[in-house]
Amino acid sequence: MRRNKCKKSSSSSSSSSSTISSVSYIPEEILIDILARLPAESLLRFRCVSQSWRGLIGSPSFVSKHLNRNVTKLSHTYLIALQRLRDKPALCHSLFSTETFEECLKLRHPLWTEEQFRIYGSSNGLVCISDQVLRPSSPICIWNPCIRKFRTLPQSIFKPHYSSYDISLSFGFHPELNDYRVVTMGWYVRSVIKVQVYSLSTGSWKMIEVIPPWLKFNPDWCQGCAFFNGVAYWLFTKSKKFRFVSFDTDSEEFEEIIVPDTISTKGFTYVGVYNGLVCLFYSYLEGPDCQKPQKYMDIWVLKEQSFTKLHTAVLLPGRDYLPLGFSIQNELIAKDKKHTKGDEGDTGQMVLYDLEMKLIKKTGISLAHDSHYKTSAGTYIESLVLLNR
Amino acid sequence: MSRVFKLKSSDNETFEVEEAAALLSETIKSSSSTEITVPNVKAEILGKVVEWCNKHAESEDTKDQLIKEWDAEFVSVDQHVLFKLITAADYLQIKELVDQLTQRVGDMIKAKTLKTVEMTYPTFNVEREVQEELKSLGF
Repeated sequence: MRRNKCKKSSSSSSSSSSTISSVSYIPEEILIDILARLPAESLLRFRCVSQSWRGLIGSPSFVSKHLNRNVTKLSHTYLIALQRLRDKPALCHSLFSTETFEECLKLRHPLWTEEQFRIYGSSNGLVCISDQVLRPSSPICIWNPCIRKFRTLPQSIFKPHYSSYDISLSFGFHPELNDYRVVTMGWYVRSVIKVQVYSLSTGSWKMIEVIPPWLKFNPDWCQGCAFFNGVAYWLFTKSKKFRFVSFDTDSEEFEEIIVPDTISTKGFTYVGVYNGLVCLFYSYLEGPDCQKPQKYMDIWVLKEQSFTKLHTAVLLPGRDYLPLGFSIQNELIAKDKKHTKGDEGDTGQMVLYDLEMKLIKKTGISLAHDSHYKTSAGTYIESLVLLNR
Repeated sequence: MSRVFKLKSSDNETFEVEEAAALLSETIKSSSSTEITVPNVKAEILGKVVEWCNKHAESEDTKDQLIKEWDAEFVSVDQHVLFKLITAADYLQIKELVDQLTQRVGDMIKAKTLKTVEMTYPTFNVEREVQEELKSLGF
């Protein structure tokens, strides 16, 4: 099967003739293959080589190919974290190598200083950022830091006259529709809930009109939220019980999923995505006689609308980890909270915990709290998404 | 009894290749004849491709460290030779060889400045938006 675009080798003379004429033209498919292996920074620069390269690199098919290659081969992936620096600014979001844990890029956004934004989701090279404390007027940006392109979302449709007491934000990719979505849920006084969905393809917000009555239970607290495969998930606490809600951004339907009784509000929970499944991370103390309780960590995954326990790990005494996310290799990204004697240097550092093999990797990255005591960390895969939008 | 394939270069030299090595090429696999002419590829280049195929046919474990080292040395050639090898491997559809060669080019290209890239990959209508583009991206 011969490809049409292959041009003949231009040189029959010796290779000592000028560089341009002695070089063979490479078939376009091979050129695409070569370019798809490059880091985003190189590709940005090579857009300036010529019009045809510019067109090629910016084309939706190339952007997809480049991203898919990174996802399947796990190349050009990073850890993204809010780190603590010794000099000013004291906090900085940065990208770190997944192998050496060295800082590769500081993330600076024109609308916020380093210390003031929070990352609410990371997907396919895009991160969604906004204020550390969300208000109805908080600006929201979808940003690709490695190509320095961002889209500021239009102001939300709903302009409340009364105060909100909790707004949650989640961001992610909808693979079937090749669309990136932001979902906000705001709880206001007098049991008013406002759910809005932003789609990157349409560039606009949609207010969800139909809210099922069972949803108006006035949660005490939103423990966490996540977005996966076009569906947004929230974990709420209400009267010392958990309530887990999902919202499909296509069908616009809400569903409640029962949280097993063993997951108690006394422990610590975190909502995330583990190995392609929505999961609940749950850590708790347990032990005979409660004399010397041990710290446990469980991962419960959501399969067919119910949670099943996948892994359990017991921590060494004195050790405690705050979960922050999952790495591209499905390790738990966590903050080392306590220290044992002689190990004080590890406090507040990022560790990667392989839950299956029960192995811990220390990264040496010092993690910081933002001004509202939230630490953030996750995974970042390079892509060219947003390049030509 | 394994078959022997004959590969003919554009300058009329013939290489005899054992079945195991020859079938690494999809083009040869789907060919009805055991005699294949490879247009636009000279003996020097075709010979190297045959060498690669022979090496990869005889060792079963492609993840072997020795093979990896051999492969790394194989692709450490001049740009001209590299591109000609790509053309040949592409025509013969030897996926793994194309993969290794393109990876090598990718690695070489990463560090290059714009001007050098332009010289190496000549295309049409070179437009000089360099300064503006780089400035607008904050580089």
